[in-house]
Amino acid sequence: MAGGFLYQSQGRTELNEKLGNPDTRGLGLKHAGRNVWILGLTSLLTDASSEMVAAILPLYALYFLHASPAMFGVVDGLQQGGASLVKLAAGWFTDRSQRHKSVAAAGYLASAVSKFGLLVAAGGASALTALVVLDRLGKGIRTAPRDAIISLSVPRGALASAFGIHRALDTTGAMLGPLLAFLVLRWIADGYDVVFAISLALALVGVAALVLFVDTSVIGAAAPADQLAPGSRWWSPRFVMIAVLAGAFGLTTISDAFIYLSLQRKLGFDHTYLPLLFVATPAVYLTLAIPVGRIADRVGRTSVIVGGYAALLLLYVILASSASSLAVIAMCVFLLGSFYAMTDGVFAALASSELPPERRATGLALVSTCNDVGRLVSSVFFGWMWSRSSPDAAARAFIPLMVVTLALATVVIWRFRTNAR
Amino acid sequence: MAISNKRALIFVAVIVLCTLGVAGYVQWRQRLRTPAAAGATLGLNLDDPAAATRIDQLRAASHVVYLSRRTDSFDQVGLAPAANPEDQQLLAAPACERSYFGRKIGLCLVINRESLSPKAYAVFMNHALKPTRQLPLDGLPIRARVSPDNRWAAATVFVTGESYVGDFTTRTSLFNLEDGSVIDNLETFTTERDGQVIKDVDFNFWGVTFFPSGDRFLATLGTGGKRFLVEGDIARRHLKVVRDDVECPSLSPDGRRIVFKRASTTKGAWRLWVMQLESGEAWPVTGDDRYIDDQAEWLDNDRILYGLLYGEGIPENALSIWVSDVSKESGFDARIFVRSASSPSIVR
Repeated sequence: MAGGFLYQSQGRTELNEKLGNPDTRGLGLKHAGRNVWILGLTSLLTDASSEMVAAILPLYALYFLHASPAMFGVVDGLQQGGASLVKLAAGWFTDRSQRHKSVAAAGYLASAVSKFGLLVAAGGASALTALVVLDRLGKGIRTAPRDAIISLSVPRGALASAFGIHRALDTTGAMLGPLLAFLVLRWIADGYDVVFAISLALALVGVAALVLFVDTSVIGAAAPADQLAPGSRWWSPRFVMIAVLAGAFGLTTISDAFIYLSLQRKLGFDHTYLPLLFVATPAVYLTLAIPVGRIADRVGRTSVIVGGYAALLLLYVILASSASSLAVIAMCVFLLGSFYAMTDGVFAALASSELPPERRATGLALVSTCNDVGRLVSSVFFGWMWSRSSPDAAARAFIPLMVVTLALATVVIWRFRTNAR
Repeated sequence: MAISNKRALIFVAVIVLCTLGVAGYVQWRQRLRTPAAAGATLGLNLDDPAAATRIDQLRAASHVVYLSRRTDSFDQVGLAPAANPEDQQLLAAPACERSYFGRKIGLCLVINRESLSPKAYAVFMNHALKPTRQLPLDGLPIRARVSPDNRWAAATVFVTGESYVGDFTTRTSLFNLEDGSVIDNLETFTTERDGQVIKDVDFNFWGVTFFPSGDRFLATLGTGGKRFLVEGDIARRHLKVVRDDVECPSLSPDGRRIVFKRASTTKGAWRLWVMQLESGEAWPVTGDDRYIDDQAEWLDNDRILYGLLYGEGIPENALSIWVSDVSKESGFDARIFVRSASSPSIVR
């Protein structure tokens, strides 16, 4: 098979393109790149739309609706599990129907409808909960078909770059959302409904961009040679390994919220600065996403992913140490942002390169779900450790876990790489 | 497929329509919310001597102070004679998220949304309800209390960002109203249970209620998913667990009973219970599982006031102050005391 999953040298990529890799045949790069940018724009608008609502929801629920925040905590856990199931189902349905664009559009539309609901439902705590669930449901539906379109719109050698562009735009939206929400509330003191109205408008423009400009005719262009023979399995040993790695790495990942809390407790800084971390980390992520994607396409995606988790390991070491200064916070934020830039989009690129086009959405959903489940288990474990002892001790427990996972991953990757040759 | 002019045109049309839609919506809602007298805020301005006199007269007798949850005066302070709660007077300012009023001192917890991370303050008011002092709070305000002798006040906040695994973190501060000093966090007190000192990182305190005299109070301790009633002694900086499964207590004027919340199996819903402190005997006083807003208050030694979310929709339609008789024989009688309002305090 052309184009190694484990190691992708610049020379080999170029050779593939010259020889006419089935994925790239007959496609102009400029033409194919458009889908990536348009989907990036759609994600930017939708994320801005969702995050501006998420940023004010606790205030809105607590002080405007006088609803219990405890209710939302429970919904959160259910949502995470539910969203993963929906993601798998949507991926499977996308491949079965081969209607990537329609499924993705349905997902984005569900989120837009939830914003409309927030605007017209005129309060009510249970209505609010249902609408938040609908928004997350939409996210679950759209992720796999959208990533499949991205991966099928660019040559194999440019997969990580393409995901880098998409994730950079996506993260930009996630940063702009809360900013916009607070500007609105500053302008109109009780303007929660105005936030919902603007959020709805952004979501609608996002859906319109997707429906009008994303061209999925490229997806059917896979050469017959690349299609599955009837009865053959679509999951290669390499793909299974990627899914297992995604799950294993998920288990070693401490959730952001915990990392911020550990930092804050450890360094004892004012709560007022906590939101700054929520802004600084995505800022690092979006700055690095595109260059890191390019590097991953050149030096190999697995190397970059391993590097990303090594950055996370370094962050754990700092958290567990007694170091404490402003420079330490800056370092931690940089490491966390780099970790996201080096793993999130790159993992999708890696998985895409091992999946036949007609099973891509299913496969991408599977890898992402493995990672979600791992992270869910890890956050429950971390929370338990935290309440039993201390944040430092909890972070310390994750260091050996990460070291072992990294070592195993490197060995497995090395074996597959030598086998491939 | 190149981008056709037609599609580009449709896209531009969508953007224009969405922009116009938002602009139109803002126009419409602003017109809807502006009271008849354009730009004027509803309620009395205390700088006006006539208004100040009126409030003085009202406050001379027993009265109820509450927060309006009407859309036209959201979060504004309202007053009414305890005997005639529908005869209401609104203050133009301030707007409080939570509040409690004694005869000499009022405590109003406000949120200033002028910055990217909203900042909360405890605003103290004098007997004439004029703000006298303002202190920053470290989180989102959820409970306010002033002691019956007007010497102490307490405020509880949700500490933002400190919640984890679906749980929450609170911080309760005590304010000495005589010398202006502040006890920043009840977690610095020693806590004792059955003679043993206990301590855990997940300790949360909230819902302080003061005994009629002295520096003693009751509050909730939340730890390990359970709630306990603790009795506090400010002078000794000491807390003692006295009962299990009691949340958000409120002491009766005679100091012999508490009304408290007990979580029901429905998430985010409670029932109110009353407990005879000496015997520990307790019984429910509300009949169904509902969202009980804020801490309950006593109208007199036999009747309680509480904010209750009844039905769906915006607070104006759903959130009111209810009154119930707490005697065991009375059954679950409840009726509305002040409509579209919450956070009652009774000044005797």
